[in-house]
Amino acid sequence: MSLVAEFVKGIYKENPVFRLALGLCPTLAVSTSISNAIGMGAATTFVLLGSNTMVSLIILLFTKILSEEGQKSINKIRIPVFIVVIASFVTIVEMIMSAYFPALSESLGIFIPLIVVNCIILGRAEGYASKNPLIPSIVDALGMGAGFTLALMAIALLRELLGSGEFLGHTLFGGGFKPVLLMILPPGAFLVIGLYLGILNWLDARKKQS
Amino acid sequence: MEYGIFQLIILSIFINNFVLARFLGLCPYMGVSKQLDSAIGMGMAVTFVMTIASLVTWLLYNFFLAPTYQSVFYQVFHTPIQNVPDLTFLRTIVFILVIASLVQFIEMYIQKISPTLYKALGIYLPLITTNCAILGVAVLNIDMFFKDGLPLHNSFINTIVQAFAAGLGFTLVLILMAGIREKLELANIPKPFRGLPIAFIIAGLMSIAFLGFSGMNVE
Amino acid sequence: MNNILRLSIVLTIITLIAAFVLAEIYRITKPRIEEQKQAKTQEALAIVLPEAKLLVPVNQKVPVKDGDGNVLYERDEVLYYKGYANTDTTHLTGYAFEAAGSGYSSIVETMVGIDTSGHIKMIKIISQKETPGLGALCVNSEPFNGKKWSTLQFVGKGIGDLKVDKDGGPIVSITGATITSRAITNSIKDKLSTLLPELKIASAANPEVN
Repeated sequence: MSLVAEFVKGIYKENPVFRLALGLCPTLAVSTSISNAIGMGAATTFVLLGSNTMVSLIILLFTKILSEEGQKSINKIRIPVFIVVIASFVTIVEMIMSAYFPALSESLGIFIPLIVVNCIILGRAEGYASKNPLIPSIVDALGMGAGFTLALMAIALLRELLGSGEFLGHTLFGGGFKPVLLMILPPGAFLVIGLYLGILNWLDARKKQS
Repeated sequence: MEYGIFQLIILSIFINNFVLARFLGLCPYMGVSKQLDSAIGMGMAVTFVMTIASLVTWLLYNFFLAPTYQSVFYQVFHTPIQNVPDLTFLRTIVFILVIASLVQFIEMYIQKISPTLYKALGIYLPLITTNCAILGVAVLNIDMFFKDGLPLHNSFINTIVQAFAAGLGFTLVLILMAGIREKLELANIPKPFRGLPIAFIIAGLMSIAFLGFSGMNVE
Repeated sequence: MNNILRLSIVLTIITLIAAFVLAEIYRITKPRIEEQKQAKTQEALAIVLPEAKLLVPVNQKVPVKDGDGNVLYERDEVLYYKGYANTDTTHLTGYAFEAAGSGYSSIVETMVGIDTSGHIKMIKIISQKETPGLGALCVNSEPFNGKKWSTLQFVGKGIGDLKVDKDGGPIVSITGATITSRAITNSIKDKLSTLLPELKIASAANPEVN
């Protein structure tokens, strides 16, 4: 697959949230405002990039320096190794966020350390980066990260607009607009994503017909 | 504000339900809630792992990572109290490794003592590692029951209670969801919404119902 | 057995490398994080005691004890701040202190400014990790309209007014986040009840103060 196609697949065809149903927890929790969505998307993309790169390099290193047999036995601990790599990058994100973006760090709360169990990251490390060379792995990470961020933003758009009457923190509607509080509460998240999934399925079915 | 045991239980199961209010544990929630038996099995497995993981991570945080008089560096190695290393930044790595190892051991143990249970739970067990509810409750315990590295009053008991109750709450909504989805198989749902979309809408409705608990006064 | 040992060693080495890298980054970001905390405290003080040109911390020596009650060392902790209208200590305008209470999912820390009669001038939430969209809304500081939680509703309140509506008091709690609202309100009340006698200020709850 060409590199451009690699990148684009993460955005629509294999969108991690809407297609692969990965990374649902942070998606629902953090999509209360577009700025939170962008922040979380950026943090996750950073970890994705780091982990896909390291995993691809580590596998490359081990295939070069180990024999067939050595590789087979190292294979047994590959998941824990991936986890250490991912957890390290998440810790780096935690520290950088507390140091340079404290407000964002506070609004994202426990979901920053929870990036480590975001199935997208381990999923791509195991499913792609461990089997592909460095450059495609990097592009895959960027594509998946972008897809994740866009999915977050799409949900956040509806929730922030309807739930607090704001867009990126700026009040849009006049005083008469009563925001639908439910949208920024947990039920709103479930309903919006259920709606989006249903619409996407419908669009796919129409495409298939034509 | 101190937490009573009963207060914590009601908090973790209903008011702050880990799935419907805190958004933790969603992947297994969506994936395993199609049938009642697998829901019950997954729920019990998660509750078990959550409790043990919270126990172990609490001990590690209190005695190794936090730079206080409780640290082994002070108690056992007699490092001067001002020089005890602050290893709290290793929290994420240590916790997730503990959880991953725990799940591995539990998987091997179940395989040995009950092959039938192992077959039933099968693929779900490794999935528990990435269940954000487990790491989530472990991190939550630290955020809620420690201040400046030192455990607050009743910190350990509170941790165990919260973890166990969180697991119960998770199991509860999993069973509820499975019950609903089993019935839904027979209903006439519009094609685009079958499967995952309707599951989310139901979760949304359940979440509204659980919102009703948020007014509860548990003092 | 030999194989397991070898794999464990490899995993341990990788973990140690990761820990070392993280320790370095921690070393670099820690001072920045401390700076952020200091800046945050100063910013909060400026908000709760805006007319104060001079702020003087009043410390107390807090003994750090071990499990048996033996004192290991003493630490200086700020008990409260005195605010003066001029750059000297001639005109005392008020006091500021930090209150902390356990919320939903974190300890919520609030900076409170009071005037010399013990009534609240202003509060500022300085740290919280409550649920995004629910308890996290406690930081809202819009003009108080009587219906929606705002930190501004604390202005002018005395210690006797510090109860949330669900407990029969005048403080409007956050919709769907009673626990956070209660934690903040009660933590301020508790801190005030120990501080007012110390500052020799009489209140409805404690009229006879010498």
